[in-house]
Amino acid sequence: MYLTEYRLTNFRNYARLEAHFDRGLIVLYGQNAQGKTNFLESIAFLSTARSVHARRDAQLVHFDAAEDGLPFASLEAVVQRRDGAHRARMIVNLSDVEQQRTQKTIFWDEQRLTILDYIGEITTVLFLPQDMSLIASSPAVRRRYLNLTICQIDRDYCRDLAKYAEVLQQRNATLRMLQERGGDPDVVALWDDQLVRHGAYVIVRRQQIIAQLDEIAARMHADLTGGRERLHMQYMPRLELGPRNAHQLSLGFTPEMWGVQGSLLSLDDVETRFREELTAVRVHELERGMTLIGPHRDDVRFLVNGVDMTDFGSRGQQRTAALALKLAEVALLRDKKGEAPILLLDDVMSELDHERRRLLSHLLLDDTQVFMTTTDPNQLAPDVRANARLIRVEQGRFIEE
Amino acid sequence: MSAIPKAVARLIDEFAKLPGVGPKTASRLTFYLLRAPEEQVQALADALYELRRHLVTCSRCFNIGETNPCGICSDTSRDQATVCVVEEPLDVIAIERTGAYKGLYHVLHGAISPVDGILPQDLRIRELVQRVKQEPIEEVILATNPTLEGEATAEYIARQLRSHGVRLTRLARGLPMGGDLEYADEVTLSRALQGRSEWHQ
Repeated sequence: MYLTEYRLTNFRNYARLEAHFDRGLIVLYGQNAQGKTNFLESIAFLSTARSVHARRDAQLVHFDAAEDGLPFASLEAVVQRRDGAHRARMIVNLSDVEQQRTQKTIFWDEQRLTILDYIGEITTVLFLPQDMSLIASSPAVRRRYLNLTICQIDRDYCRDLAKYAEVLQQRNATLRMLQERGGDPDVVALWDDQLVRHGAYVIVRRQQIIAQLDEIAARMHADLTGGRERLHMQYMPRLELGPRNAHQLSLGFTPEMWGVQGSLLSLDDVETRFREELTAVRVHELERGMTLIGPHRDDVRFLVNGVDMTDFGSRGQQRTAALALKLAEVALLRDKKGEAPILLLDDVMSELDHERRRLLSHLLLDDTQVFMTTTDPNQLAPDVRANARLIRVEQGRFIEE
Repeated sequence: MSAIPKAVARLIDEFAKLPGVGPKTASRLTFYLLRAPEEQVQALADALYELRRHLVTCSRCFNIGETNPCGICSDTSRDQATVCVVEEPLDVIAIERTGAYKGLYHVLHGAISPVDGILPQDLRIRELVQRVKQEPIEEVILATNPTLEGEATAEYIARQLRSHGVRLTRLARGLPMGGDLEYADEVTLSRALQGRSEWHQ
């Protein structure tokens, strides 16, 4: 799919922007702090309704607009998909300037939708410089990445994940209050049914998607390393009772059972085991005052030739594995949706041109639309440059040659 | 903001504490009252004052009313063997409006929500168990909201009453009247399927 028309009002440093696009490579260049990344962020935001950079949606609204008494931002796009052209419109309304409270309204083909019903209509994959350190980052960063990816594919996942977070919050608050005030410990179990129901779905979908990503990423990785190294991703649902790896027998499974080669567990199996484990760790949970097992403790392991990359990989190896994963994400989305997602490459690998060319050769297929930012377009290889549309970004404006 | 007289600022602050009222609405209400006729302001003040002075909580069902026991509890024509457990007094009003229920009520004044610091002992659950022991109650209808917190509260009460030999029922969850099947969300639809009932004339 690709964007044909795009309009921004009061988004970040764009007071007004109107642009038309076609598929292919579109390079945005210019000095720092002119709005290149903001532009990519706007497309990602229109796709996922979540901001990558801003901690609050209120920060997305142009500050002049807030002062002028027009405290809203709007994003509008016409997207060409296989099933025809669609119009997406998202309005971020700053309902309370002081409290920084916002409301998001989404229209898809002029029909108002909830965020949950809308997510997945426009699919994007964002390549950020920090993605290259995904493998060295904390499990929380990897879980967030996984959630964003799966939410684009599966709305039920998104719904169950949100419900799970809600139950977890209540359950943790219960454990904390029991620790502080005492009371009937059976209250904890009131949340178990709902925790298990929503949590099991999250676990099952994660194991399926990771198995699918693993298969594609291994191929991509073999290609990137000339077949010298073999990448393998492992889903690690984890029971945490101490330092990492000390008690990592999560939900009672050995890690091998979760890989592609192992059989994937059914929803019923996971529910049963999740429930059993919850009962088993109850005493520890009451002691610690928090929920100790479940998908909020999961992780993904990246093994290259059997060696864990998070702990023992070199920076180069970690980058290559992360890149293989992102490429796998693109391929998986293409596979699930029947067409390529829109790709957003933010200053990725500007220091290594041969790597970037290789990346683009993987990404720039027939129908794909790629937006890429760079500070210096002269660094682009001539053949890449010749086929790209170049747009200079200056103070929230597009200037074309 | 020293330009605003103290009395005005005070009323704005008080309004802003109300649910659903932000600082803007609070100032609009305040300035409206400044210009409103004396009698209207007096009437509002009286109404506010009377609200707390004359309303009492029923010591049996914990609903709010003008008498203790409340009108519903003292109405002997109502079915004394059925109790409907709700979260808030507003829920009583909603069920009464249907005219389809002739039993008694029990108002919990909230739902279990540890995030907001509410545990079972903060609700009128102990009192409900007492009632079941002392009154000739045969059925307890769990009519808490179909939310996360409401479900947990219903579950907790069910556990407390299980050994007391009363019939425990839960309000049916399903499709709204006049609704379109096609537009129902998946959760509602799957619940409606699970809770389907025999066709009866």
